[in-house]
Amino acid sequence: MPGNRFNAFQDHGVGIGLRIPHYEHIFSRKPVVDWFEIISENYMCDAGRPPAMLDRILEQYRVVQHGVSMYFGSVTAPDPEHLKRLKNLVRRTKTPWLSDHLCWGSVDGTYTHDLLPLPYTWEAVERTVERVRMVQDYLEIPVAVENVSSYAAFTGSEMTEWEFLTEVVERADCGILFDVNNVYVSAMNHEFNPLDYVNAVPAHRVAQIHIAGHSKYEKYILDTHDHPVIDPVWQLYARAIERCGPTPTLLEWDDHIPSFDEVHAEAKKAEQFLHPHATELVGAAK
Amino acid sequence: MSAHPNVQANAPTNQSPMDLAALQREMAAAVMQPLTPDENMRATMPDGRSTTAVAASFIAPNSRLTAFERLEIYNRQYWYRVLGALAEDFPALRAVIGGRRFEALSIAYLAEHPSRSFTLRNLGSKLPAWLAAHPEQAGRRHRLAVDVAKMEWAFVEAFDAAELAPLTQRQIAALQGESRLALQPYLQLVALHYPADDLVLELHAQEKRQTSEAGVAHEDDSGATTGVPKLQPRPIWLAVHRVDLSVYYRRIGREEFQTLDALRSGSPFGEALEAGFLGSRIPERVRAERVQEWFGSWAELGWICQA
Amino acid sequence: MKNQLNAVLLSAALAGLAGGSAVAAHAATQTSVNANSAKVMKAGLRYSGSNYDTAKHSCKGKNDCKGQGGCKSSDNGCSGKNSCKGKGGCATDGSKMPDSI
Repeated sequence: MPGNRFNAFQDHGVGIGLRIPHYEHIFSRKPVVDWFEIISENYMCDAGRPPAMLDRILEQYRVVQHGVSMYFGSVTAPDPEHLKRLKNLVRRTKTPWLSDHLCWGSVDGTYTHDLLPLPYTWEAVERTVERVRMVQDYLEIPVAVENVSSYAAFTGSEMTEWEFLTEVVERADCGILFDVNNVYVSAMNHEFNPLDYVNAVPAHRVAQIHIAGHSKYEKYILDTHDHPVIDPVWQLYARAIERCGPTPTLLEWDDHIPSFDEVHAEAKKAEQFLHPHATELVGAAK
Repeated sequence: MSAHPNVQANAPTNQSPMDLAALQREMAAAVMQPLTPDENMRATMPDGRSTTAVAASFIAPNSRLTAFERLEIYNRQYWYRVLGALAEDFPALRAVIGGRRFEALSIAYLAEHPSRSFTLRNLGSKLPAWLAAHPEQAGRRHRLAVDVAKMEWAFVEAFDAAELAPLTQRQIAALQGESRLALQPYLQLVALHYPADDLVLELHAQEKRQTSEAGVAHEDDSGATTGVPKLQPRPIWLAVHRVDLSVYYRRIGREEFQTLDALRSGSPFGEALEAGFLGSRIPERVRAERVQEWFGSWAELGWICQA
Repeated sequence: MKNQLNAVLLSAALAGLAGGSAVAAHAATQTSVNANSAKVMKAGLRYSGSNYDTAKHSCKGKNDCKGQGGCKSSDNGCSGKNSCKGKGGCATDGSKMPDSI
């Protein structure tokens, strides 16, 4: 059976993030795309153009929601209005699962709008588990948490990031949106071997995989989503697929966005890892 | 290489570890503190403590970056993100007061009104009122700047605010003088001191041209406000609204504006009509004709809904 | 006298509402461009600013100021600063950064 209970047993294939500069191409050319991922917050307004455009997409394509401001690790509870709007959007898109980040970003009702890293402590595990369970119960669909790119580590951490992730998802009984680019970025920024992370992640809980490009600076790497995926990240992806099996995969491209065809072609490179035998057969037939 | 580098800084210390709530409050305070003019993290926290010491109290360094430098990455990203979001919503205000002043204004505004919403869409909601109360932030063209800010925020609201079902014929037939009516949430009523509506449209069109020509938006970091014509003050009343997913603005008369404003404030139908003509020079003999025209247009545009 | 005027205004408003609502209802049943353009004529001037279609949220790291410019792969001279104000710069050649890894 394809998929697992964390992605509603879906075999989505390879998708790309839905971005406004591609609307015209999508509506006029109706390209064949396995699925689109939307950033939930960009469609959580009351009415007008964003939901109308989304409805047009939903007529033709499968859509999965990805959020950026649930902040599962924030100590203060999420805004009920946020949850209500998110659930309304879930009803609209009929997303089979939903993801957001394993991070924090707001405190006492003030929002940084950033994906801030958590200290890997038992206290943070407990707090995050509680929040993930609450959101999952409220939304009534499988929730997957995504590992973030981080630039700082905490003196108080009591475990590795992958141990922290494992503790959270096992206790919350939720899925993982495994971002292999984020693994690479964090590995470079925190000086660990990214394969250790990929080899340790609980593969049976991986609902979805993210791939993306990043920017390398002199002293750190920034997760900018504005370049093609680099080879070392493809290697991590290959290893992740080896461990998890065929998994819905999504390319994120958020800045200096090239043409739809270019983004889609970059995403489709994932197929050679997802279906290596099929690719070999096509190659042989040619 | 350490097998578990994320915990490498976990050596026993004399200090007890900071709890999660304290860590998040401390980090948020540092991250949201304005940058220096050179876009670096400040050396001292708002309460006077050394930022270096604060960063080191909960952030571990690595072989290339100190705790301060690692925290600084988040400090910069916070400001780039929120300043970017604000600049996106107020491009004409930026053009009117100049890039440098706009940045200073944005920092001052955000320091006083950091985001209290899960969505960046609401970040600029208090900017027009805040700017009206802070003339020192806008320079000589304060009133014009406030007008422009009001226009630009009205566009944001009109773009994606809720749409209710307009009144049906049956509901209209049941209306009385004491009935209360609601306006479409997307309909924004804006009173201006200057004819800033045309200016905003022209500045937005200019920005759009520059963006499409250059691939990226034109960056004017100077304090200059070149290309903004001098305007004579003249009261203007506007209805900013939405038709078929597009935002439109329509100049309306003072009486029409006052009537709509009274309806929005919850005045009963009859009282709203009275409020509309307060201080009006429109001769009484033609008022009924005007009222019929207004309400006809509003109904045609779907602006009037059940309260 | 005042009450009489108010009654006249109220009647006028109701007549306007009924008329406008009928026009809107009729237009809603029409698929012609004309029916819609009549509404657009009443709407005023159309706004088409650069932030017309906007998506403020993403999960990318920010390497630029005010949403403009940014770090291009062709830039040289990385300073380790994620700003675009003449100081930033990045590469994505996939080369390993820390020697220790």
